[in-house]
Amino acid sequence: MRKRRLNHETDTGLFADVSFLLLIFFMMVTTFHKTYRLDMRLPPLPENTRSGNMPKDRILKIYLNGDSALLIDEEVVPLDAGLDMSAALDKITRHGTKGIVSISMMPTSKYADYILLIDGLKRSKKTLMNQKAKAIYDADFHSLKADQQAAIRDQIKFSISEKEIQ
Amino acid sequence: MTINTTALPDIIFMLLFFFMVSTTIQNDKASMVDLPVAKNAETKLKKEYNDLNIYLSLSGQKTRVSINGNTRDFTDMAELLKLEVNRLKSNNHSADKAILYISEEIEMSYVNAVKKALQSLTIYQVSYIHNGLNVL
Repeated sequence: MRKRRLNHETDTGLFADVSFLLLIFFMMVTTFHKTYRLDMRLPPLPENTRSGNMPKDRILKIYLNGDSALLIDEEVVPLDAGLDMSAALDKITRHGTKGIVSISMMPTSKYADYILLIDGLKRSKKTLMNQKAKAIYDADFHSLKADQQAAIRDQIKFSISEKEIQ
Repeated sequence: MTINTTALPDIIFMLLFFFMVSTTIQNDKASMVDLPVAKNAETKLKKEYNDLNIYLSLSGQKTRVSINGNTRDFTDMAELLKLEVNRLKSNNHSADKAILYISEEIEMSYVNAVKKALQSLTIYQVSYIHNGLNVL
Protein backbone atom coordinates (compact mmCIF):
# COMPACT_ATOMS: atom_id res chain seq x y z
CA MET A 1 0.00 0.00 0.00
CA ARG A 2 1.36 3.47 -0.98
CA LYS A 3 1.79 6.02 1.82
CA ARG A 4 0.22 9.47 1.25
CA ARG A 5 2.76 12.31 1.37
CA LEU A 6 1.76 14.91 3.90
CA ASN A 7 2.30 18.59 3.09
CA HIS A 8 3.85 20.26 6.17
CA GLU A 9 4.08 23.77 4.67
CA THR A 10 1.79 26.46 6.03
CA ASP A 11 -0.31 28.10 3.37
CA THR A 12 0.53 31.83 3.46
CA GLY A 13 -1.51 32.69 0.40
CA LEU A 14 -4.03 34.58 2.49
CA PHE A 15 -1.40 36.39 4.54
CA ALA A 16 -1.59 39.52 2.38
CA ASP A 17 -5.40 39.53 2.48
CA VAL A 18 -5.46 39.31 6.27
CA SER A 19 -2.85 42.05 6.56
CA PHE A 20 -4.83 44.35 4.30
CA LEU A 21 -8.02 43.63 6.22
CA LEU A 22 -6.30 44.52 9.50
CA LEU A 23 -4.78 47.65 7.97
CA ILE A 24 -8.14 48.83 6.63
CA PHE A 25 -9.82 48.03 9.95
CA PHE A 26 -7.34 50.13 11.95
CA MET A 27 -7.45 52.94 9.38
CA MET A 28 -11.22 53.10 9.75
CA VAL A 29 -11.42 52.92 13.54
CA THR A 30 -8.47 55.15 14.44
CA THR A 31 -9.27 58.56 15.85
CA PHE A 32 -6.61 61.18 16.30
CA HIS A 33 -6.03 62.75 19.68
CA LYS A 34 -7.73 66.15 19.70
CA THR A 35 -6.58 69.20 21.57
CA TYR A 36 -9.06 71.38 23.37
CA ARG A 37 -8.96 74.98 24.36
CA LEU A 38 -10.24 76.63 27.52
CA ASP A 39 -10.51 80.41 27.30
CA MET A 40 -10.43 82.46 30.46
CA ARG A 41 -10.09 86.10 31.34
CA LEU A 42 -7.79 86.98 34.22
CA PRO A 43 -8.74 89.82 36.57
CA PRO A 44 -6.48 92.82 37.12
CA LEU A 45 -3.95 92.49 39.98
CA PRO A 46 -5.49 92.81 43.50
CA GLU A 47 -4.43 96.47 43.96
CA ASN A 48 -6.70 97.41 41.04
CA THR A 49 -9.75 95.51 42.24
CA ARG A 50 -12.56 96.35 44.64
CA SER A 51 -12.91 94.50 47.91
CA GLY A 52 -16.01 94.04 50.03
CA ASN A 53 -18.16 91.54 51.83
CA MET A 54 -20.20 89.02 49.92
CA PRO A 55 -23.13 87.05 51.37
CA LYS A 56 -22.03 83.50 52.13
CA ASP A 57 -24.90 81.95 50.18
CA ARG A 58 -23.51 83.42 46.98
CA ILE A 59 -20.08 81.84 47.37
CA LEU A 60 -19.18 78.31 46.31
CA LYS A 61 -16.00 77.25 48.09
CA ILE A 62 -13.78 74.71 46.34
CA TYR A 63 -10.52 73.32 47.69
CA LEU A 64 -8.09 71.40 45.50
CA ASN A 65 -5.10 69.81 47.16
CA GLY A 66 -1.90 68.28 45.82
CA ASP A 67 -3.25 64.72 45.94
CA SER A 68 -6.13 65.33 43.50
CA ALA A 69 -8.64 65.51 46.36
CA LEU A 70 -11.50 67.93 45.82
CA LEU A 71 -13.65 69.53 48.49
CA ILE A 72 -16.79 71.38 47.37
CA ASP A 73 -18.69 73.20 50.12
CA GLU A 74 -16.88 71.01 52.67
CA GLU A 75 -17.89 67.78 50.97
CA VAL A 76 -15.41 65.43 49.34
CA VAL A 77 -16.25 65.03 45.66
CA PRO A 78 -14.48 62.70 43.21
CA LEU A 79 -12.47 64.67 40.67
CA ASP A 80 -13.14 63.09 37.30
CA ALA A 81 -14.59 63.83 33.86
CA GLY A 82 -18.13 63.38 35.23
CA LEU A 83 -17.82 66.18 37.79
CA ASP A 84 -21.23 67.91 38.08
CA MET A 85 -21.58 71.13 40.06
CA SER A 86 -24.81 72.33 38.45
CA ALA A 87 -26.81 72.09 41.72
CA ALA A 88 -24.16 74.05 43.62
CA LEU A 89 -24.02 76.69 40.85
CA ASP A 90 -27.80 76.97 40.92
CA LYS A 91 -27.62 77.60 44.67
CA ILE A 92 -25.26 80.57 44.37
CA THR A 93 -26.89 82.17 41.32
CA ARG A 94 -30.59 81.73 42.12
CA HIS A 95 -30.79 85.15 43.84
CA GLY A 96 -30.50 86.83 40.47
CA THR A 97 -27.15 88.34 41.35
CA LYS A 98 -23.65 87.29 40.44
CA GLY A 99 -22.19 84.44 42.45
CA ILE A 100 -18.56 83.65 43.17
CA VAL A 101 -16.79 80.33 42.75
CA SER A 102 -13.82 80.53 45.07
CA ILE A 103 -11.11 78.02 44.19
CA SER A 104 -8.35 77.52 46.74
CA MET A 105 -5.46 75.36 45.67
CA MET A 106 -2.10 74.32 47.02
CA PRO A 107 1.17 75.14 45.27
CA THR A 108 1.57 71.40 44.68
CA SER A 109 -1.87 70.98 43.06
CA LYS A 110 -1.49 69.47 39.62
CA TYR A 111 -2.32 71.41 36.46
CA ALA A 112 -4.24 68.40 35.07
CA ASP A 113 -6.56 68.49 38.13
CA TYR A 114 -7.08 72.23 37.75
CA ILE A 115 -8.08 71.81 34.07
CA LEU A 116 -10.43 68.97 35.06
CA LEU A 117 -12.04 71.26 37.64
CA ILE A 118 -12.42 74.27 35.29
CA ASP A 119 -13.73 71.93 32.60
CA GLY A 120 -16.26 70.54 35.10
CA LEU A 121 -17.36 74.07 36.00
CA LYS A 122 -17.96 75.01 32.37
CA ARG A 123 -19.81 71.75 31.74
CA SER A 124 -21.95 72.24 34.86
CA LYS A 125 -22.87 75.77 33.73
CA LYS A 126 -23.99 74.29 30.41
CA THR A 127 -26.05 71.62 32.22
CA LEU A 128 -27.70 74.27 34.40
CA MET A 129 -28.51 76.40 31.35
CA ASN A 130 -30.17 73.38 29.71
CA GLN A 131 -32.13 72.60 32.89
CA LYS A 132 -33.42 76.19 33.08
CA ALA A 133 -34.28 76.20 29.36
CA LYS A 134 -36.29 72.99 29.87
CA ALA A 135 -38.06 74.40 32.94
CA ILE A 136 -38.95 77.77 31.41
CA TYR A 137 -39.35 77.12 27.67
CA ASP A 138 -39.60 73.32 27.58
CA ALA A 139 -36.78 73.19 25.02
CA ASP A 140 -33.03 72.66 24.81
CA PHE A 141 -30.88 75.73 25.34
CA HIS A 142 -29.45 75.53 21.82
CA SER A 143 -32.87 75.56 20.21
CA LEU A 144 -33.89 78.81 21.92
CA LYS A 145 -33.95 82.24 20.29
CA ALA A 146 -31.05 84.60 20.99
CA ASP A 147 -33.03 86.77 23.43
CA GLN A 148 -34.26 83.69 25.34
CA GLN A 149 -30.68 82.37 25.56
CA ALA A 150 -29.53 85.77 26.82
CA ALA A 151 -32.28 85.74 29.49
CA ILE A 152 -31.10 82.36 30.75
CA ARG A 153 -27.44 83.36 30.62
CA ASP A 154 -28.38 86.38 32.68
CA GLN A 155 -29.73 84.11 35.41
CA ILE A 156 -26.48 82.13 35.71
CA LYS A 157 -23.71 84.60 36.31
CA PHE A 158 -20.66 83.89 38.40
CA SER A 159 -17.01 84.84 38.63
CA ILE A 160 -14.17 82.49 39.41
CA SER A 161 -11.81 83.55 42.15
CA GLU A 162 -8.54 81.67 42.56
CA LYS A 163 -6.03 81.71 45.37
CA GLU A 164 -3.01 79.69 46.40
CA ILE A 165 -2.96 78.49 50.00
CA GLN A 166 -0.06 76.99 51.91
CA MET B 1 -8.49 22.99 -9.71
CA THR B 2 -7.08 25.95 -7.78
CA ILE B 3 -3.84 27.76 -8.36
CA ASN B 4 -1.46 27.64 -5.39
CA THR B 5 -0.71 31.25 -4.39
CA THR B 6 1.57 30.46 -1.45
CA ALA B 7 4.61 31.82 -3.23
CA LEU B 8 2.87 35.00 -4.43
CA PRO B 9 3.98 37.27 -1.52
CA ASP B 10 7.53 35.90 -1.90
CA ILE B 11 7.57 36.81 -5.56
CA ILE B 12 6.14 40.27 -4.88
CA PHE B 13 8.72 40.94 -2.16
CA MET B 14 11.49 39.69 -4.44
CA LEU B 15 10.32 42.09 -7.15
CA LEU B 16 10.03 44.92 -4.61
CA PHE B 17 13.58 44.32 -3.31
CA PHE B 18 14.92 44.04 -6.86
CA PHE B 19 13.46 47.40 -7.85
CA MET B 20 14.44 49.01 -4.56
CA VAL B 21 18.07 47.90 -4.99
CA SER B 22 18.40 48.47 -8.69
CA THR B 23 16.54 51.77 -8.95
CA THR B 24 18.50 54.96 -9.25
CA ILE B 25 16.73 58.21 -8.62
CA GLN B 26 16.74 60.38 -11.66
CA ASN B 27 18.77 63.51 -11.13
CA ASP B 28 17.12 66.64 -12.35
CA LYS B 29 19.42 68.66 -14.51
CA ALA B 30 20.05 71.97 -12.90
CA SER B 31 19.57 75.15 -14.86
CA MET B 32 21.35 78.19 -13.68
CA VAL B 33 18.99 81.10 -13.18
CA ASP B 34 19.94 84.54 -12.01
CA LEU B 35 17.32 85.64 -9.51
CA PRO B 36 16.54 89.32 -9.14
CA VAL B 37 17.67 91.03 -5.95
CA ALA B 38 14.89 92.02 -3.56
CA LYS B 39 15.63 95.51 -2.30
CA ASN B 40 12.80 96.02 0.23
CA ALA B 41 12.41 92.49 1.61
CA GLU B 42 12.96 91.70 5.30
CA THR B 43 14.86 88.59 6.25
CA LYS B 44 12.83 86.36 8.56
CA LEU B 45 15.00 83.81 10.30
CA LYS B 46 12.50 82.81 12.96
CA LYS B 47 8.84 82.01 12.86
CA GLU B 48 6.80 85.13 13.45
CA TYR B 49 4.35 85.01 16.34
CA ASN B 50 1.37 87.31 16.81
CA ASP B 51 0.41 86.09 20.29
CA LEU B 52 2.31 84.87 23.31
CA ASN B 53 2.74 81.11 23.05
CA ILE B 54 3.90 79.93 26.46
CA TYR B 55 5.04 76.34 27.06
CA LEU B 56 5.75 74.92 30.52
CA SER B 57 7.39 71.52 30.72
CA LEU B 58 9.46 69.39 33.06
CA SER B 59 13.05 68.67 32.14
CA GLY B 60 14.17 66.12 34.73
CA GLN B 61 13.36 67.82 38.04
CA LYS B 62 13.48 71.33 36.58
CA THR B 63 10.60 73.29 35.09
CA ARG B 64 11.43 74.98 31.82
CA VAL B 65 9.57 77.77 30.15
CA SER B 66 9.47 78.51 26.45
CA ILE B 67 7.94 81.72 25.12
CA ASN B 68 7.57 82.00 21.36
CA GLY B 69 10.49 79.66 20.78
CA ASN B 70 12.89 81.07 23.43
CA THR B 71 13.51 78.50 26.16
CA ARG B 72 14.89 79.26 29.62
CA ASP B 73 14.79 78.00 33.20
CA PHE B 74 11.56 78.93 34.96
CA THR B 75 13.43 81.39 37.21
CA ASP B 76 13.86 83.68 34.17
CA MET B 77 10.19 83.47 33.18
CA ALA B 78 9.12 87.01 34.16
CA GLU B 79 12.12 88.60 32.44
CA LEU B 80 11.66 86.51 29.28
CA LEU B 81 7.95 87.32 29.18
CA LYS B 82 8.63 91.05 29.47
CA LEU B 83 11.23 90.90 26.68
CA GLU B 84 8.87 89.02 24.38
CA VAL B 85 5.94 91.36 25.07
CA ASN B 86 8.15 94.38 24.30
CA ARG B 87 9.40 92.71 21.12
CA LEU B 88 5.85 91.93 19.95
CA LYS B 89 4.68 95.46 20.71
CA SER B 90 7.64 96.98 18.86
CA ASN B 91 6.59 94.87 15.84
CA ASN B 92 3.09 96.38 16.01
CA HIS B 93 1.44 93.28 17.51
CA SER B 94 -1.09 93.81 20.28
CA ALA B 95 0.34 91.08 22.60
CA ASP B 96 -2.89 91.04 24.60
CA LYS B 97 -3.47 87.29 24.59
CA ALA B 98 -1.50 84.33 25.92
CA ILE B 99 -1.87 80.75 24.79
CA LEU B 100 -0.67 78.30 27.44
CA TYR B 101 0.60 74.82 26.61
CA ILE B 102 1.32 73.19 29.96
CA SER B 103 2.37 69.63 30.77
CA GLU B 104 -0.16 67.85 32.97
CA GLU B 105 2.34 67.09 35.73
CA ILE B 106 3.30 70.76 36.25
CA GLU B 107 2.37 72.10 39.68
CA MET B 108 -0.07 74.99 39.95
CA SER B 109 2.47 77.26 41.70
CA TYR B 110 4.25 77.61 38.31
CA VAL B 111 0.98 78.20 36.44
CA ASN B 112 -0.09 80.82 38.99
CA ALA B 113 3.30 82.55 38.70
CA VAL B 114 2.82 82.81 34.92
CA LYS B 115 -0.69 84.19 35.40
CA LYS B 116 0.59 86.81 37.88
CA ALA B 117 3.35 87.82 35.46
CA LEU B 118 0.75 88.19 32.68
CA GLN B 119 -1.51 90.25 34.94
CA SER B 120 1.37 92.56 35.85
CA LEU B 121 1.86 93.20 32.12
CA THR B 122 -1.93 93.84 31.77
CA ILE B 123 -2.44 90.70 29.66
CA TYR B 124 -5.72 89.23 30.84
CA GLN B 125 -6.88 86.93 28.05
CA VAL B 126 -5.51 83.38 28.43
CA SER B 127 -6.29 80.14 26.61
CA TYR B 128 -5.32 76.79 28.07
CA ILE B 129 -4.60 74.19 25.41
CA HIS B 130 -4.93 70.61 26.67
CA ASN B 131 -5.75 67.10 25.57
CA GLY B 132 -8.71 64.86 25.90
CA LEU B 133 -11.16 66.51 28.31
CA ASN B 134 -14.85 66.89 27.59
CA VAL B 135 -15.05 70.61 27.05
CA LEU B 136 -18.45 71.53 25.70
